[in-house]
Amino acid sequence: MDLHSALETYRASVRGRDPLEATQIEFINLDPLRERYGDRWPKVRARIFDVCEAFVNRRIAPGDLALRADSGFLVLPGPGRAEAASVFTARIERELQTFFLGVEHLQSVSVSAALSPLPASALFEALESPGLEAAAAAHEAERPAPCQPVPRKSAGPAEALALPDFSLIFEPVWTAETGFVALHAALPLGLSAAGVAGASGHALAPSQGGAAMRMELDRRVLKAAARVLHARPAGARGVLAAPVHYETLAMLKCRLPYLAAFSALGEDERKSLMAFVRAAPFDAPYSRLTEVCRSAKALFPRVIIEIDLERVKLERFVDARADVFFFTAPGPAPFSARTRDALERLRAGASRLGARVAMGACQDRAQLAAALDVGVHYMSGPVVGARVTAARAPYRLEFDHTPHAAGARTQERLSS
Amino acid sequence: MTLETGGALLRVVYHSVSLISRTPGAFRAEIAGILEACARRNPRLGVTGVLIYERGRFVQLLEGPPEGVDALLDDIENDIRHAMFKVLWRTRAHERLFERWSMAFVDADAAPLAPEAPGTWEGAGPSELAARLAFAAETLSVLSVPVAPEGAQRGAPVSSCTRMTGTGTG
Repeated sequence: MDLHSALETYRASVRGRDPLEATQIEFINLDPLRERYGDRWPKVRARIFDVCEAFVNRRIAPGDLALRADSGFLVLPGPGRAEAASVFTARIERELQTFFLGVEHLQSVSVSAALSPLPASALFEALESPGLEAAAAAHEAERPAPCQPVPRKSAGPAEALALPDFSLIFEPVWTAETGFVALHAALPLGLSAAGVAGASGHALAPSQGGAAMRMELDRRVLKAAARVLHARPAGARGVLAAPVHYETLAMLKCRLPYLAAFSALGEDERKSLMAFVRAAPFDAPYSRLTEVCRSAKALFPRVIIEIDLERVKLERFVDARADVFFFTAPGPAPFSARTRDALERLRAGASRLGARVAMGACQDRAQLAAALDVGVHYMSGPVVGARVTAARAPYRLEFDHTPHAAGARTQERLSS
Repeated sequence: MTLETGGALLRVVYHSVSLISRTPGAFRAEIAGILEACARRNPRLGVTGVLIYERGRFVQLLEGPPEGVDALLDDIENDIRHAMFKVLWRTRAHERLFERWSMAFVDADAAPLAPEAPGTWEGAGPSELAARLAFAAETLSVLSVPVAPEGAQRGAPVSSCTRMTGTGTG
């Protein structure tokens, strides 16, 4: 089953099999641990959840999705699961309990797994309902209604923050293998809340607004990108990458409205949108990276994740199923030996994970040649083309460069 | 508050003032957390009813096994998104008024009232409360979840369950 078929099957399972037979895993008896560890409890608790999440993720079927909740996990069945939900639930409960018994400080923790009828598609529809839209707009309105004498002060300084208007700009992305520019990375550009012109990306959302405000920006960008796709003639659309902040997908309460917004888009638009996960911390744990990427993969056809070339730990992505690792060009060519090593490690590691590699901010032909030489698959930046206000239909872009031959020579010449 | 005896089910209606931030996205995120937790947890506990958001107020009717309803109420009363929590109706019942769990937005496009502004729910009697809640669930519901089948209701003791509104990322 190819990716699109799998995606369609998953969507059908979400839409047509409501409620989903989700498995709810709950930890019991955490209170004694909380008392024992006192101030250290938040860190210990996070560690316990990380370990358990890794354990759960290794025991679910391809396409299943494990989501972290307050006192445990929720596992959504994917299309590839052969086990009956009740059998899976009993098995995961038994295996987790056995696991806990084998870890000294977790022996007092019990686990309970139960089937839970989660109305996934109904939940998505509710989160995109006119009622919620209207209530959210009224709630966020800056000016109170005449019958409302004073705004509440209880919610702190974030009350006054607003999300600015923005327009989308598009950065062309060149595919080395085909020589085509068929993908554009969308980027919101506008006036920041502080009045700075030309603010872009998540800088548009005031940091005091936190993850919820970044999620709201991500939703609006997603919808704006879909409108752009919808307005273009069929067959000339290409693909857009919509930026989404790591925290939007990492926090369940932000992830749900975001994925609901995606789910509400038309079929053609959904097929032409990639998730471009930005600002993932370089030290994010395996479990959270897995959850973030997989939750996006449940709906988006492709997931691109931004990484730090020098500090990324690719082993943490082993179960993430990310499609593309994106990094920013590491300075001018020729690259240093250390940078070349990092690039080689990234390309080889991504290849083992079945993923590809993309480089942004590519300034000139020398950088392009050096990147091609180590097998970078996608390129963006000035050498490919300036950011544009309207994404073009797919087009061929020729470089007088032959990868792996001229590239190597160029690198050697420039290095010497 | 009306207190009655008799019946295996507990039915409670409470009223609270929303403390959700007015920052863009916050309302949607918090409501998503509440909906997800309720949709996931209430049916499994055998708790049905309706949650209404109206101009900065939450009004919810919960009915089901007493231990399940009381556990949910404890969590809601301690939730930082709720203030001025007040039980309007508490009674035992033989039959459910609501066979599903629903959420509805009433007067959705009107601005929230100030916390101290008088509401229209506090003075309502049981029959009026039930009628208004049923009307909202019937005509304005955005999410309607059936109670779980009998076989799906095994699992954790109620006292150990996830906080109803505490659905953060752990």
